[in-house]
Amino acid sequence: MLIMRALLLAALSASLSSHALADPGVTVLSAECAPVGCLDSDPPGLPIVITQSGHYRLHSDLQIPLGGPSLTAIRINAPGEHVTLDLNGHMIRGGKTCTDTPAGACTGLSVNTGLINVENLHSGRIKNGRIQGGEGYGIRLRVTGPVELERLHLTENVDGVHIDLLGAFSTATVRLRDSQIVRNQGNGVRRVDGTGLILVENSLIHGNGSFGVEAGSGTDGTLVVRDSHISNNFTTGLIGRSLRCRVYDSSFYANFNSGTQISSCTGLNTICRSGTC
Amino acid sequence: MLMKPCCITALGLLAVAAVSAAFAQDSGPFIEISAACVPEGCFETDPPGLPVLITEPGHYRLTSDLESDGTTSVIVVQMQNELFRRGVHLDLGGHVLRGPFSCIGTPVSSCNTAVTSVPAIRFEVRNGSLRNGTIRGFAGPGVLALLLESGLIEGLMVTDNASHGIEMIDVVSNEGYVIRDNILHRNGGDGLRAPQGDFGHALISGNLATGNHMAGLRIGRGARAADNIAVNNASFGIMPWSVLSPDGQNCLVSGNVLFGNNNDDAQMNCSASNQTNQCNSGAC
Repeated sequence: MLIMRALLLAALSASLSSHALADPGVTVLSAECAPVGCLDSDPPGLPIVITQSGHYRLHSDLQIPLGGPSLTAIRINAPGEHVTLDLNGHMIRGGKTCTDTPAGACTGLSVNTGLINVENLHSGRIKNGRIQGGEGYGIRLRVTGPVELERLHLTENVDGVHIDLLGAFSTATVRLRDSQIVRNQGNGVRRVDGTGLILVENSLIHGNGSFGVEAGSGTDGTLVVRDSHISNNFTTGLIGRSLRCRVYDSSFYANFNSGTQISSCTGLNTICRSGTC
Repeated sequence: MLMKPCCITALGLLAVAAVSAAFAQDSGPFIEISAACVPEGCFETDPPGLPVLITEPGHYRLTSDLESDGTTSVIVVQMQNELFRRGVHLDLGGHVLRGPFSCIGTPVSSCNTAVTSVPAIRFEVRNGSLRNGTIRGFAGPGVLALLLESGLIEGLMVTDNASHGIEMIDVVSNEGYVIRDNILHRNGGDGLRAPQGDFGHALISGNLATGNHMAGLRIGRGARAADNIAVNNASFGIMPWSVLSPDGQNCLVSGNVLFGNNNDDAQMNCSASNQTNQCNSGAC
């Protein structure tokens, strides 16, 4: 297996050099290397498993069939480490599909994992790609430090982004920006109980099958939404459930069948064009 | 620029040019810095070991993480000579400079080391840029910047340093500098400590300062702070120095969101209110 993997990686390297030379310091992940393992610590097949700090870049789409065998495409389990994951414009595609807006009648399972499943990490960035059709969440996050999610398109997953801030992860700061979280089966963004800071900026959260943004009940946590548009979600556009929740300079439209747009959170300079703030 | 074999092997100058050109996917040819070349020096003017010393202009990129004991600098850029206006552009390549220390509490109540003034990166240039990486776990500031003419610091995550996240030294900056899109997270001092007075004409924008032991953003009268977010810092979200500008003000701030700082008391202490900022539950 090691020889096969070495040969494949050599072939991949040669292939890369013919169009775009590998970037020093950047580790390439792709569907081509996944069958034999893209990294020393990565067992053959999906998910690609990242256990060490580094800068990783996707060089192809990754596809997961409906029902697995794995429902995760990239798993990050690197406690205390820093990972930059650049999807490089590619798509991670699971088998789930949903109809309608807000999302409904979705196929497939609903399990507690993610197409990108960050099990344990200190800090990092995930950026620049499309994550669609997860029978778990688009991204599941359990981090202890600062993480940026940027320029992402998450659709038809169980939740778009699912953030766990319990226990050791209470010191996390998650900054989600410049992204579209649309037509996921459940919530667009869900913060599970606990502390830490979730910041949503300059993003569209539209047509999700439950809340647009849902915060858990941890009253010490902080949720801030800014410069975003939250629309056509099945239930309330944003539910804070926290004493430390603010929405600034954002707009809400036609959530909860034009009922309550914001709950348990204070909106400032924020417009609700259909329903009540 | 001559480089030592560790970084360019024995390909010869022609091959070096080809390889450098090949590395130019993002922003032109660059000089590589990595843990592999540090022991013997990453280029001719860089002595063996840490810190990596940059004394000539160019585009440098980190291609691996660098670790240290947290009490000595990892990268030192010293380019004060007026001949070097071309500047240094240092791209951390999405990698991390890591020391062993950490801080506890939100906002930070203490860090597990004594504070020093030795930064992880000392960035002393006439002009240049520093971008795209994480600086974590040092006893001193994450970045100590001395920008003699102009500069750009962007896309950094600076966290768990016992001193300030990014500290700027008072110098006359003729052309000004830009500090943007950084995350200043749970440091033992200010998140950003910009120069006071007329030193440092600056645009400070799009930064997130959170959980720091002192202020989120400390700014001088020559700076404009726009569209930043400061949350859960122990002191003010935005805090000016006491030196006033000729119109008697000490802040030029707009479009910032300040929430949960200063134990939910005043979010900033500028001498004039500015209605375009948002503080906790209303205008500042």
